[in-house]
Formats: sequence, structure tokens, C-alpha cells
Amino acid sequence: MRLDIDARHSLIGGRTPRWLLAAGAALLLGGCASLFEDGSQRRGVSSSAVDYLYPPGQKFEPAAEGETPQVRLPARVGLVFVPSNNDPVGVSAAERSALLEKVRATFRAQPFIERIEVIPDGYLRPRGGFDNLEQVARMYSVDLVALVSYDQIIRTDQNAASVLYWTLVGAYTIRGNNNQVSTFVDTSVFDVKTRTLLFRAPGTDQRDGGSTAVRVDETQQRLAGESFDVAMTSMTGNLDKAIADFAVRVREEGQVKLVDRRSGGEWRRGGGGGSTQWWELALLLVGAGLLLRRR
Amino acid sequence: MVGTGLVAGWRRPAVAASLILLVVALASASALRWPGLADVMVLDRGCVAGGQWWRLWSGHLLHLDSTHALLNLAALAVILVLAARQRMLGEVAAAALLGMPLLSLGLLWLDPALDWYAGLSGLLHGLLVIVLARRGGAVAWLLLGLLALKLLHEWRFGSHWEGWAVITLAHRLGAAGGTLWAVVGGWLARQARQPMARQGV
Repeated sequence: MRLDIDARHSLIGGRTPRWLLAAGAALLLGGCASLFEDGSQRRGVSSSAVDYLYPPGQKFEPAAEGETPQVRLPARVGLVFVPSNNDPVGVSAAERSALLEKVRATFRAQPFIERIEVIPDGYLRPRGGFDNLEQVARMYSVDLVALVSYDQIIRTDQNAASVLYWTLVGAYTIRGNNNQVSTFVDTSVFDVKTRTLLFRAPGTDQRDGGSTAVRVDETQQRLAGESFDVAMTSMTGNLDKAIADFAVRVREEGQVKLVDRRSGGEWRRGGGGGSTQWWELALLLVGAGLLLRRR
Repeated sequence: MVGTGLVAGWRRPAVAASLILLVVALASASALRWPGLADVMVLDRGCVAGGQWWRLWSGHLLHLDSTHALLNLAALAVILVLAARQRMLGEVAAAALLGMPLLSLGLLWLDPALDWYAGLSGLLHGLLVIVLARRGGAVAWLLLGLLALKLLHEWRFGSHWEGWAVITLAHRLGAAGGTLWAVVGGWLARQARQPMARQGV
């Protein structure tokens, strides 16, 4: 009985061995720090136009094999994000729509565009292929569809300062994580009827920033959102060049025949018409009426 | 006045105006109906350089769609009615025939990026200036002032038409050509009247 009392006292009281206390503290701190200790992390989100249009196991059938595809202009264009199971990080659905509006503005400035519609990506089925694309094109009465896809890789590494995360306080105060975001976006413009890729324009961005262990997620979200925005802006700029290059390729290589939607004749770029507007005609009629009443 | 003599003895200017309108309307409608004809008519820089000179005239008779054609033909009808009323159909016809190639060459020269052009409105601006300047009076000058404001607005902000670019340079060139014609024509008319006045004295 006496022996039992002594043993309990030795464990609870001040006579606990020092090596045992040190081991306990190390275990406790290590356990807390391990919350932030994932070290190098890498994750990616993407949507692929290739996966969407040419899903594995589905045979691709070109609409008009052996003939030069004819594209009717001025074109009616649909603009949509390729569907994906994982959305880009740090970009809400509303922000994605706003970014598409930027791309839309670039297209609208082109004389070969009659109208352009932003299509909600919910209408496209993942891996839907050209059959799904044709359904949506019919629904919106568009001939061309501009598919916007993305590929975003987010990684974080710990630098030398991260050793201080072991102090627990360091995880809140020391910027021991390097976060890096790489974003690649791409617009591929397809003629739906002929299933032909007309042109594409990429946009890229890469950026990095340090953070404390507890702010890794927040920093990654911010960097990813900024990176996506900048990549889309870069792609919008490249679209202008891609459209100009496309016109030159069509003229010089003739892989696509551009046809005037209204007349059915050859589409001519770089020109236009001289036209009277409705209000001008009305004003002219009023003026002529006044002139004819006077001698 | 150039061409005035051509129609001076014409008793029925309305018939002449209708004939001009009919010819232009037929050319426009045929080109809209048969795209191959439109390809032959359009003012195309490369083709003109290759020796197809008729395009300097025919490009003005070609329209890009039926609305484009109807609006321009309606404006032409109004101008022809005004010209017939002032007995200057011959002058207007002569100005049109001479103005078409000059306007075409001016467009190709002043806008090197312009590959093609189609439409009557550039010429219409010139013909309207000629008719209004010859007519004179407060209403005519008011209309000329409004036309000048419209041209300035187009120059600054452009003009929009669904599906294709409006070449506003054609409007400015046409109006400038019409102004030149009216000024030179007016000076020649004064020169012609002065000897007659002296003889009268």
C-alpha cells in the first residue's frame, strides 16, 4: 500500500524525470507545428478544350471531310468557359463572367462579328464533344464558339525561415512559405458546323508571394485570382493578333473559305460600305419637302 | 454649267429621274441576287490595280444588303426629285459619272488599309451638296450646315452598321467633291453670264 502511494506521488509531483518532460514538450510542439508542416504542396485545376471536344473513347467525325470548310461571315459567336469539375481558384462565377465580358469586347470590335453571346458554362456537359457544342450553338443561334479553357497550378514551398514554425508563434509571424501560381488560359475559336479550329489565343501569368504558415490558403487564393485576371487580359490582347494572323492565313493558305452570310459570295475583309442611315433619310425627306414647297 | 444642255430640252425630267433611279436599282438588285456579279462589281483594290477599271464606277452601284440598298436608293430618289425640280438632272448625272471614279481613286489613295468598298452614299453626299448649293436659300443652307455637322461627328466618332464597317471617308470625300463642283460650277456660270451682260449693255 505504501509502495503504491509513493509511486503515484513520484509521477504527479515535482520528482518527474527531466528527460520525460522534455520529450513531452517536444511531442506537443511537434504536434502543433505539424499542422503547418505540409511543406511542399502542389495542386492544380484545369479545364481542357481537348478533353471536352474529343473525349477519350469517342470517335471524332469531321462534318465535311475532303472539302474546304466554309465559314459564314459576319459571324454570330458564342463565348463560354469549357466545363470543368474544378473551378479556378480565387475566381468566383461572377468574376469569370466579368472576365468573359472583356473577351467579348475584343470580339465586338471586329467587323466580321455580327453579334456575340456569353453562354453560361452550365449549358456545356463535361466531355460533351461536338454534339453537345452543336446543341448549344443551335440554342443560341451562333456559328462560331470561342471556348475558354484554363490550367492553373498552385504550389507552396517552405524556406529556411520556416524552421521557426516549431516555436508555434513563428507560424503566425514568420513568412516561411513561398507561394507560386502559374496560370494558362486559352481561347480556341471553332466553326461549329465544320468542326474546324479557326484560331486560338493563349494568355499566361506567373506570380509568387510569401506568407506565414497560417495564411497560406488566403495568399494562394489572392495570388490565383490576380493571376487569372492578368492571364485573361494577356489572352485578350493576343486575340487581336490571332484574328489578324487568321485573316492573313486564310488569304495566303486558303484552308478555310470565308463566305458572306448575306450574299453567299466571297467574304471580303478590310473594307466596307458607304451607307445612308435611317435618320439621315428622314431628315433629307423633311428638308426636301420644305424645299419643294418653296418656289 | 456642265451637262445642263443635255437635259435642257427634256420636257419630262421626272421620266429622266426615274430612268436613272431604275438603272441604279436594277444594278443593285442584280448584284444582291447574283453574288458572282457582286464579286465583279465591288471596288477591289487588287482588281483595280490589275486593270479592272470598271470597278471604279460599279462599286458605287453595289450594296451589301437589301436595307443598305433601299436606304441609298431612297436618298437618291429624293436628290433626283430636287435636281429635276431645279432642271439640273443633266448636271447631276454628269457629276455622278465623273465623280464615281474620282471618289474611288480618292478612297484607295487616302486609305491604304481599305481593300474594298461598295455603296452609293459617298456619291450621294456629293450630289446632295451640289443640288443644295445650287438651290440656295435658308432651308438649303440649313441642310448643308446639318450635313457638315454630321460629317464632323462621323469623322470624330465613326458610324456603325451591323455586320460591316461604314467607310465614313467616302462621305467626306463625296461632300468635298460636291463642294468643289458647286464652287467651280458657280464660278464658271458667273464667267458665262458676264460677257452676256456686257453685250446686253
